Amino acid sequence: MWHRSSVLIVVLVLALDAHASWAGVIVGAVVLQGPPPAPRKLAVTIDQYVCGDAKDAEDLVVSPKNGIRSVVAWLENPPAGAPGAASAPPVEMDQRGCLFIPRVVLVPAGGTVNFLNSDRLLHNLHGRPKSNPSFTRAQPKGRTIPLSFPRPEIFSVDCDLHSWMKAWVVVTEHPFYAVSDAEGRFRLEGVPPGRYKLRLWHETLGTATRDVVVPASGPAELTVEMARPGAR
Amino acid sequence: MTTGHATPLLLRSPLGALVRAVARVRASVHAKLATALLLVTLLVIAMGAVSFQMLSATVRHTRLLDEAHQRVDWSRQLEHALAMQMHYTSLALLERGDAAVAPILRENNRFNDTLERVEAAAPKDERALIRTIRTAQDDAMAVVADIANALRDNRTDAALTALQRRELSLYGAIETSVRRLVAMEESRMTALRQDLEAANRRSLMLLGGVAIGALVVALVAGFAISWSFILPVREAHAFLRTVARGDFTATIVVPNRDEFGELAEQMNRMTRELARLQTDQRAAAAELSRVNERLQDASRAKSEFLANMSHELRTPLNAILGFTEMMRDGLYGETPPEIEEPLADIQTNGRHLLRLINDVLDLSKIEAGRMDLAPMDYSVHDVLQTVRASLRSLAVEKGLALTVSAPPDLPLAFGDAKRLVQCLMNLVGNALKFTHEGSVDVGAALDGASLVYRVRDTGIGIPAAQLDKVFDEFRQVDATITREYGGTGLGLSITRRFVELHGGRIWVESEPGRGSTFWFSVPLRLDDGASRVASGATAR
Repeated sequence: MWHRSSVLIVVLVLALDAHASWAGVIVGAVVLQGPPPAPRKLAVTIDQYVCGDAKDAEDLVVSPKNGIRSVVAWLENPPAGAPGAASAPPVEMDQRGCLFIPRVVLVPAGGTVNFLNSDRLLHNLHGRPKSNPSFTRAQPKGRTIPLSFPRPEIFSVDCDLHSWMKAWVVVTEHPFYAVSDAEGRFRLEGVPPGRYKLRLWHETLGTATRDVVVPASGPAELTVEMARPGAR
Repeated sequence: MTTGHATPLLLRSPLGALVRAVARVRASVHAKLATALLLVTLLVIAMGAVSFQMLSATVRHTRLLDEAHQRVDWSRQLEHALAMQMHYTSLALLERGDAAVAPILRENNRFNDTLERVEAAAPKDERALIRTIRTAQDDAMAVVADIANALRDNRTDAALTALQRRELSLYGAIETSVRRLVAMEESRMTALRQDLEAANRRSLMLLGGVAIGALVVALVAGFAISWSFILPVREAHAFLRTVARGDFTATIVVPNRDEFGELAEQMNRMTRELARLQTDQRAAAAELSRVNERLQDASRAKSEFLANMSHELRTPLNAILGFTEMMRDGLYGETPPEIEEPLADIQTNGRHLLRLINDVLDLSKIEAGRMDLAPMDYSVHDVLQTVRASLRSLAVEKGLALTVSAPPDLPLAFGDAKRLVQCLMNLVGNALKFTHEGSVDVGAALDGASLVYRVRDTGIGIPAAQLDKVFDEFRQVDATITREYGGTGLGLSITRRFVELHGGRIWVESEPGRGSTFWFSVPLRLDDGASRVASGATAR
């Protein structure tokens, strides 16, 4: 029943001045096809003093112009000779007001995610990766739990104590990954000109693939429409 | 100000002074009533205000109590969460499984959440204690996390160590503090409850006091005002009764300066006016009675004079008539033929004068109260025959028929026959006088205990307008009649007097041109008492 709607791809190639012969830019936007989702509240039944009475459902967040937040975009076929995942400083994922912030983090393979707890109560991190070792850790306020993931994959992290809490860790294998912002925009920089397959992933909307041509000069711009599974 | 009424006991108490004070207030009745009503209304409003205050105080206290109750409840939840944490921790240590770990964490979070609520709601004096618990709980949170993680990592020894070395002492400290907290909240709640009860008692007493006050004020004001109205009304009642008895010297005094005071003043003015009128009227009445007495004296003197005069007149007249008779009878020798006629004239006029004098004498006697009936048994037929015999020649002269009609079986009557004959003679004489042709009928009939005499003629009749005057003295229908028919005009008047002396009455029916019928009724049997009463009543 997994119906994939037709995807309209608009590729605009604009002749802009290129500041590096190999360093092209992909500027994209992801918009939701169809009407925006109705706002939805998740009831909070425990630890209300810290967590509040209800939480907005954040599994699909859309801007007023239908831009989709937290969509992960990356190149399926990274350019040859591209550097491996940069040895970047650890990435942070905080738990504040009984929410994971941010909801999606990118961490290069082998890199470390520092899980924080700003709430004055116990959270219990519970990750269920397939390629990396799974983990479950009780976490008091103020304690940082650093965890590193050697193999690229996308997996979710929950809190055993607060059912509505959910986050995603994207372990990347190369630098050409990006997460869409609140307006649904993302940007992949330093892409050498050429043809690429662009992969898009969203936690509820699934995946999509697009062909992108990065011109010799100027950014490659594209808008991707994604639809809810089951929707036309 | 003293009345004959039984004054209520209350009016003799200080309340009476209050009643008089209210009466003396210079304000209208309306103003007094309105003031009293306002006073009572204000007290009722005050009652409402007290009730409202009471209610809001109760509500406030109840809310405080509810809050305290909530805090006690939370404190107990703290104790419970703590106990459950220990329980689950022990369980997890025994089971060594991951499944048992989450409940420990949940209980710790529950403790934490409850503690947050307690802290937010806590009064100032509990804050320090709660901060102590908080600090310990923050530590405990870390220890619980460590124990949980150690259990998951199958490091049971480390978990046990953490439990024994750190958690137990922390929990001990927390438990002690929480117990203190619970004790504080409970004592606070007890104090609140006592406060609430005391406040309720106070409010109830205040409310009762105000209610009783309102009642007393309403009663006293009602009593004072109503009696300040009732007293003058009673005064007025007694006063008017006195005045109604005819004592116009009475005065009414009321303390009221309101409408009742004005009313009393008006009554006094009225009585003074009445007294003045009475004095005037008495003087006038005395004057009138003096005049009346004089008039009566004069009238009596006149009647006596007339009676005496008539008598004195009759004596020489009888002599004149006697000598004339004798002269005509030739006792003094042959009378010359030329004086025959003058002698006849003398006789005729003399007789007329005598009749006139007799009539005047009768009337005078009646008016002077000296006419007495001489009743005796008599036969009605005899009376009628006497009348007929006396006047038949006159009827024959005028060519009239004079008939007598009466039932043959009339019983013997009792009365003054002579006077009745005189009455009938008058009536029949008049009838003959005013009838030119036809007949005159005289009769009698029995009507119960009355005897009704009747004289009917076929004469000229009497106009309807004159019918009720024919029995007055010196009254004939008009002056021309007197000239044409002669007569003294006293006959009918005397007849009426005699009938009335008999205790009877007289009336007439007439149709001008067709004739008249005179009736009079007298008792068949006149008794002496009735006679005397009748004569007394008609005496002028």
